[in-house]
Amino acid sequence: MTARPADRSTVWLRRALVAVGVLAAAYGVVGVLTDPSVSLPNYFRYTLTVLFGHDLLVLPLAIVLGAVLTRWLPGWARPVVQGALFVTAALTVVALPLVLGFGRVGDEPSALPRDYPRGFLLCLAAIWLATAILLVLRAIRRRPSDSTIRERP
Amino acid sequence: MVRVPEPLTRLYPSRLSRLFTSRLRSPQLTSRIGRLLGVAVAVCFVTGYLSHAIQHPPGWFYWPSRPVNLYRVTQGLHVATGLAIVPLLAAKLWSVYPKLFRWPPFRDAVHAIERLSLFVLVAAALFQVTTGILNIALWYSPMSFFFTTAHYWTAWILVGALAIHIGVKLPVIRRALGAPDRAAPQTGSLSRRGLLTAVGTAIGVITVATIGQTLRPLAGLSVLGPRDPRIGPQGLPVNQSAVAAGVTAAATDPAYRLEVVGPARTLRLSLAELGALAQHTAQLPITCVEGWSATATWGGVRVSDLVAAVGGAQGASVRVESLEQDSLYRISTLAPPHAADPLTLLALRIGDQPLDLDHGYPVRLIAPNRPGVLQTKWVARIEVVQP
Ligand code: HEM
Repeated sequence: MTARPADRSTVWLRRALVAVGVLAAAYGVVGVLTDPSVSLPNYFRYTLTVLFGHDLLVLPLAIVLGAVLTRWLPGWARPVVQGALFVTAALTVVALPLVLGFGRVGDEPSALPRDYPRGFLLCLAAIWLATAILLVLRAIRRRPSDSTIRERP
Repeated sequence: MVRVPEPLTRLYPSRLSRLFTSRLRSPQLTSRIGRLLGVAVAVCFVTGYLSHAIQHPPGWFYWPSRPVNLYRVTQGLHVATGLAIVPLLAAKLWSVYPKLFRWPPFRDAVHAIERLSLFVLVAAALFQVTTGILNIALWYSPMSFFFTTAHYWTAWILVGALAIHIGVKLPVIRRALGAPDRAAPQTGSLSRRGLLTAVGTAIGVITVATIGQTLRPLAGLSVLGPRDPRIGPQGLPVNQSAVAAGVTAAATDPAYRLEVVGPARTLRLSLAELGALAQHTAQLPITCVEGWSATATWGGVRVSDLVAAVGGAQGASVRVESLEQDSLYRISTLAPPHAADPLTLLALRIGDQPLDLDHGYPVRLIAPNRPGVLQTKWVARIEVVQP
């Protein structure tokens, strides 16, 4: 081998990472397979559901939705709205189980004590108010210099 | 030959990955987000392992009783970081999504194995994040397996698969992170900086909306906190009610006696006799594994006093048993540092009121720097276990 020392240390680092990774993952897999409290059929059903649900449903849907919703926006506004849509989507993932509220049980009023639909709407209002302010600022900033250049459709 | 109309030729497997037109995707972007994601996964793994080890201590493990709020910080960090992974993982997976459709699907056997390991990585990451979110929302029914053990073992799969992934991609990561920061093409859509700003903003919004479940000053802002540290009987949240635990009758029985078992003698103390012993107060948090916590002023009898009264030695452990019948958390063991700590109480009061039934009336355990599931409520019996 004519590898320089730096390259050789990289090779060993990569081998070490892969070896440690295989050991740790194998430990976890053995744990999942042998721990009786992990009911395997349910575990696999759930895992495949979230994997394919994300890869074939949620992510493509988010991409298409984002493309459609920002399609007719002018170029100067699009990035801001795209960012706001991303923040909205991430927040929704966290908020949805709380908003649906299936975890509530009658005899524990201090578990899930808040009005989550209201909280979610408040967060959305804050996100989109900030977005509107950003858009107005952008519109004001570009007007003086851009007044002679017409945006191409 | 039949000519396939234009829109359909675009769906040939070999062309599928070219449907993705964003010029924002690049190894630079993926590596930057990946670096943050790697740090977040590491934080979750370390804090999560710690919480596991406190509850199921391996032989080499030692956990102190001070600082009082240490577990509160590590477990609060675990949940907050787990929630911060949502936008990081979303952006990361978006940035590499076209690769899922690469054609041909693999070059050779090694590449095929690597791609299989990527499925394991993505599945484990999605599993950890979604089960964590369901768990703090107390929505257990979609997880028809035992959350705690499944989340624990899958954490090992995730860090293992991640180490493999970083090992495989290391040259790409190095090159990408070392490359000069070209301005990404500006074509009227989000720039790299713009996307990273959006990811940071999402983390900020999610954190502010939930962190008040453990940071009391922010409780008013955290409109999505699964708990409010100000709400509950006697101003303190409850995880399991007396009704749910099925202890109402036993806990309110006037014939209740606390059994204190030691090497020298066994005491059977009524509530009045407990109240006549030396009383102490301690300001300690209830810290749930689910990431919420709330401080209260507890009043009651020091466990170390009771240990001494039944002839227990310094350095003893103490087994604490509940009136509950069928619960995983019916018994907890106080390790020597916690058993000896003067802040560890069998509490009879919050402030100057008797404990609410849901907080463990007549007697509950409260010790510094431990998860709430180990702070046994409705205590029936304690037993000194000599070193
Ligand atoms: C939960 C953690 C992670 C998941 C689920 C994940 C997932 C993925 C997937 C599915 C791919 C596509 C690979 C392919 O098909 O070739 C990928 C590529 C990549 N990942 Fe990760 N990853 C994670 C963490 C990381 C970390 C910590 C880094 C370190 C910086 C990283 C850096 C990269 C790089 C550089 C690529 C290749 C991008 C390219 O070639 O354009 N990833 N990741």
